Amino acid sequence: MLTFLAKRILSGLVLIALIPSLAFVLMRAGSSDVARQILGQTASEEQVAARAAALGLDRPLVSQYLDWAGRALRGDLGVSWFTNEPVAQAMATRVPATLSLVIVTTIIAAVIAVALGLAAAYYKGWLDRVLQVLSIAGFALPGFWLALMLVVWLAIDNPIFPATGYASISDGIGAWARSITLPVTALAVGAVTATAQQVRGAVRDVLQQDWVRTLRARGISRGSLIFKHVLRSAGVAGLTVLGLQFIGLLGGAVFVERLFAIPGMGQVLVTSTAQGDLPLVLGVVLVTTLIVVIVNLVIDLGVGFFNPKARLS
Amino acid sequence: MSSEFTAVLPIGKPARKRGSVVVRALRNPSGLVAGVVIAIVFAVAVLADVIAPYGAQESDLSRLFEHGGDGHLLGTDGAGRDVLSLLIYGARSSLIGAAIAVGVSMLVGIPTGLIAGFYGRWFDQIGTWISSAILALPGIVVLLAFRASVSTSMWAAMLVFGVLLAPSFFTLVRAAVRSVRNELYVDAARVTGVSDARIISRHVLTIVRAPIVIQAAMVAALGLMIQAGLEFLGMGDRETASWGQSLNEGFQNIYRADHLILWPGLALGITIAAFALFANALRDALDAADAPRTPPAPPEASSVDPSVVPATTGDLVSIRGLRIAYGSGDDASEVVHGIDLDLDAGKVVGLVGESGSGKTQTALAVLGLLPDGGRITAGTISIDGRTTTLTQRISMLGRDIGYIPQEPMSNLDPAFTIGNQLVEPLRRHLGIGRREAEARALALLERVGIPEPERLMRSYPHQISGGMAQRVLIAGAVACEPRLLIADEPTTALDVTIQAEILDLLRDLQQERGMGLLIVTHNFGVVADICDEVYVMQMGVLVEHQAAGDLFAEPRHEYTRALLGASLEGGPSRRQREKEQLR
Amino acid sequence: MARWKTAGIVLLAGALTVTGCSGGGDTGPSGDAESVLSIGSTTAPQSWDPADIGDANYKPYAQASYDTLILRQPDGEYAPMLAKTWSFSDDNRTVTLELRDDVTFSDGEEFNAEAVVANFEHFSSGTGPLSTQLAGLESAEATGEFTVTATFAEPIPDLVYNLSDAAGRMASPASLGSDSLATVPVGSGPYVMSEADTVQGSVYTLTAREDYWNPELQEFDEVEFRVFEDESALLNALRSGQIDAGNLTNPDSVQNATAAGYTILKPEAHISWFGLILFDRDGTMVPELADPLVREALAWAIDRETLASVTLGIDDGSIDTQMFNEGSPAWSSELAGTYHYDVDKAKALMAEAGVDGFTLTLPASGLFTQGMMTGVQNNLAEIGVDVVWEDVPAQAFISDMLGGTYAASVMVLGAVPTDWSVVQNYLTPTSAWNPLGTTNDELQALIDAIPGQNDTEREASYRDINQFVIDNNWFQPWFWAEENFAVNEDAVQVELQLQQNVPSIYNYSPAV
Repeated sequence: MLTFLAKRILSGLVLIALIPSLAFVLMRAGSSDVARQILGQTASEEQVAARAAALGLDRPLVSQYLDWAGRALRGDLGVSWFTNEPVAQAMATRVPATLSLVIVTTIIAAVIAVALGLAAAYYKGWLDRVLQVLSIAGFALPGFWLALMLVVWLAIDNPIFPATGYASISDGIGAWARSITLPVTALAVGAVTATAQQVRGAVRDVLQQDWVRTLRARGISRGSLIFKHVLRSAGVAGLTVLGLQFIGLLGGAVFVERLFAIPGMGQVLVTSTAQGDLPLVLGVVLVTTLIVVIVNLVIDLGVGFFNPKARLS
Repeated sequence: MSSEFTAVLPIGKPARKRGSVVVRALRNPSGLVAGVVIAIVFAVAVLADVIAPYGAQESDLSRLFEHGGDGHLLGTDGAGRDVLSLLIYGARSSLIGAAIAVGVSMLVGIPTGLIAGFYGRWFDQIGTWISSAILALPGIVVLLAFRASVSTSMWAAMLVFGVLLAPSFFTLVRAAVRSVRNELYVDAARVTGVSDARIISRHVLTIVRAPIVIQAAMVAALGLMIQAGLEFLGMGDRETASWGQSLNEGFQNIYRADHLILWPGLALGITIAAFALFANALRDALDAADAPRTPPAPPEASSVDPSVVPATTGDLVSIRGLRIAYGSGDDASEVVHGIDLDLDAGKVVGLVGESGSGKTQTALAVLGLLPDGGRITAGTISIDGRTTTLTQRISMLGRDIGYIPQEPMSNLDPAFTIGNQLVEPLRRHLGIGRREAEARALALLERVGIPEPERLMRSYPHQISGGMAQRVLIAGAVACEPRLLIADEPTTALDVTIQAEILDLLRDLQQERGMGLLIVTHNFGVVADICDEVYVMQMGVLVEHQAAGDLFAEPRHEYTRALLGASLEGGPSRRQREKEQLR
Repeated sequence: MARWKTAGIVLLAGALTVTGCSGGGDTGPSGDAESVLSIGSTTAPQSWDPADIGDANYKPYAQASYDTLILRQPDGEYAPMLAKTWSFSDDNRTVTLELRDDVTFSDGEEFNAEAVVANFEHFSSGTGPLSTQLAGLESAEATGEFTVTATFAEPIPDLVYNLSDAAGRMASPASLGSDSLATVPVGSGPYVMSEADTVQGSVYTLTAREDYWNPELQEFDEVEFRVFEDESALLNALRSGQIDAGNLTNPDSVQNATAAGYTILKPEAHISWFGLILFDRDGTMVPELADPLVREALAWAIDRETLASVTLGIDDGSIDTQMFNEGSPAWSSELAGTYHYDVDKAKALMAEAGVDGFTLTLPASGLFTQGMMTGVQNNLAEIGVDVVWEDVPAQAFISDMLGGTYAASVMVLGAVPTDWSVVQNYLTPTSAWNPLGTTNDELQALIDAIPGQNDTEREASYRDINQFVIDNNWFQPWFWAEENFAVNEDAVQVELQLQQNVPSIYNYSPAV
């Protein structure tokens, strides 16, 4: 198990090193006159040149990157070129918002999807068909369209939930829960249906295994069969799917954050890539990669738990 | 994943000609509707110039944000352009984007998958690592960064998106190649002079066709969605009509232009759903093709010897007129065509036949564990002289009835220890505590001849050998002292040396506990070893029933004789045959 | 067993609806009688350094945290603020200010003459968008503990206005030059930023400063600025009660808000005009633009009425050609009709100039409506000018333009607050809105004369400048833009500020 984890961690570290590097190259290769953009209208040519030099924009690409990487390792992610806010601080204030959305949606999706998928795979028949149709509908409904409908219906026409903004948990659980209800609902519909389909498939595969029949022949209770044995074996596939969902939701959050004006990573990503605010973009990419690596590690640990064979390989 | 492909490999002659998976998918109602919708969208996109009432950029600034009516069926947008025409031309740009995504992901994924599967080693390792790395990233992050740095063209973005989805094709093709490659080396002896590449490409293409089409449909659906999403974020090409941009305009002008949210949203949703549904239908069709082939039609009823029908009813198990069928309605096919069978308490009855004779089905029917789709269509199964229902038989499982399966390794839950799997039913049926159940389990394991029971209790199924596993399964079957034991080819999957040991164990246990044993087998050696009576089945009907010794001495039915004759045991050796020929 | 799962979900849903029962409202900390002013905007401050804060929509941010030397009241009259009195030397090159002695900054530093000197130097040496407000500062001296004298190379015609605006904002001298000033303001103003409740670029929360020297200007316990990606989100926030007021530019939003019962305040005098800026008068990028006939042809080719209706949803016209608004002595109602929609005239001019046609690349902002862009494209196509709209990310739109990337652009520009600022910002070779630095001797002579002139002479000069611009089409206004400031009058009352598109922060008060 240890070697397995060690390999995965190593793989993750390589990813964390590689992806932001790629992003750096891409961004620098294409960016226009950033110094001018920052200083704006009245700055003279000398001032622009001076700022460019201060930002290190005139040095070779490699040394710029090594600079950034070196500082990043020490926890200094630089300062946003446009809002002057330290990137690390910007991340620290925005990550909780996005993670709130994504984690809550994943949990809800997990619970509902497992229940639905299990039921559909076990009872088959009309329930299975209904789930299939729901899956398609949930999948096909563009998340942002649904979010739009929700805003109009539940925030404006009937002001039950706030239309925009995010209240952090420190403002009170109630306020926090209210502020994320609509965005989470919009995200969850797609997540639930996709996950439920996968769970159904995984459970169906497990139910066709020989040992399920043998366990039945041993006369164990149906509850134990399903919730202890089948679920455990379907857990590998289910967990993997949830992991993928989580990552996918990080992308979906971009749209939802725009619609609901939630100050999260997605929103920052859109604005900072538009402006060419390199430190901020790199910050977002780095944090995203970190999250992805951590999630994958957690999934691997979970898989090890569900699948004893994997522990020893 | 590899099993998916080996199952589809053309092994032996197919039972009947298979229609193309696509055709089969279209027979499915949802698949048909989806296919039609996709065809319509394609047609609309191709014929846009012909069917659109207005040009895509044709604008009348005096008629902004009108709702449907008066020359504009679906209304106008913020530049006075006709919404219906925008939808029609939008179909074109959406499909082009999706096509780029699908094309690129196939172009990148399929060849790399072929190479990785075929050459393996470092290319395979790197390819797999890159593939999982790409899958690990949230696509939108990459797309936004790309757009900001390299190109604002939507087609370029779809190209990148295609690359992001290439791993799905890569994994598909790689797994297929690997499975074929393994097969190939097994059959290496038969392959002479034909290049690996040709065989692989021919085989791989056959297996991989359908999954690729399914994946392509899914990628198309995803491409549509992400393209609309990017356009909604305001990153579309202004000069090109697109659904996502109309949605964006609708969002910006939600008061006057809710129709701009409705119609493009519907168009988008329906098209995405169509692709997804079609992929689903394809997948179902593929699964159906994998399903066990329905057995051939029942043969002419050969004359049944009256001795086949037992004279007296068995006092433990009594089966009368049992018919088992699969499927429903027109697709129904019968696999067991009315058999009678008796088992007395304490006796051993053998049920013999070839694969497909229906013997396993019969055994499973008694247990109440017929696979999906199978059911008893006629006849009765009585236990202890009383007719039983399915529910009743199921409630007896593990307690009064025990089951020993054929393949030991696949019949133990791989996620739990042996001990856990033994203890649980004991606790349930006997109502005893964990400590006591563990003690009993240990005793059982010792009884079935396991050398280190404590260690085995803590082991997982993948850590023990086949012989050990079968002993464990036997222990489990007899744990609660059932009166009836049903064994389905218990020794077939074991090494020859172990087979005898297991048989001995079975016989000892049976005699010790006075259990009635119904043993399903195709091996007459087993029959000779352990059975009191024998039933012979052929293609779902009983053809012979005798006491064991009588059967061997005087087989009555020609089929039985053929079976016995086909056995290798006791037959002349090759030398002897040669000697015979020379004579 | 699946039942407990469903029960759990029902419970969760129930809990959420229960907490959701109280409906939308101000998100202030739960306290009784806490008054919160919540303002929505689509522009976020790029910096909190008072020298770098921009004009128009950026003003309220500055006003919340910083006091100015002079206070400009809603009607445009000036009143003392941090400066008790101000007086000019005879040649108007030197100003002397007597300062208040009872003011401290939020970091405890004292406000005094040294502080003013430090701020003046910081402002004039900086590169902020309004740094020309202290153009030509020669020296600033603390001639007493609370007396400041500043001398300029040339008189600044609107210095009093400037001292009530960006040039007069005072930050704590200890904070000047520190990096954190860009994200956290340190001033003497009525509100102080609460860093814990602030997410840069999204929500800025400022709480009332306890011993603020002028409680009359401090009407709320808390001021909250919320930034939105686009106006639809802003409007949604307004409608669900999360913000109390905000500036609306999209006619759809205005209709939406009006229908929902919100008050739309419009200034009496027009504030900004919609039109075409022709940066490349020297023809370095597009040679054809060097010819004034060609530029004039463009002015005749635009169908102004239709564009006004399409862009702003207004039917009353407000067609004009002048850079100065009705409040200015330079403005004249006759000149408003100098150019109107006449395609034939435009074509004739093009022919006269000997130009068949050319390509014109214009930056497209997300804030432009599709209708407007299509309209412009079609209009100019009629006279052979092929317009190519180039997508520019919204945040980079202005900087790209001012960076000299484009030969021309459609834009909304302000005609306020003073005539001199109009000249300074648009017409001099170093003006921000003259990125290609074009000059013209005749115009420059007019401009150079102004500082030394008296009021009557200046009026004549401005009139001449107005005529010059109309004749030479450096800037080509089409029509006046409407300002629409939406307010939820159940929550707050507000008075508009003369010549400003958004009200000053001091003009708000809680609804009675």
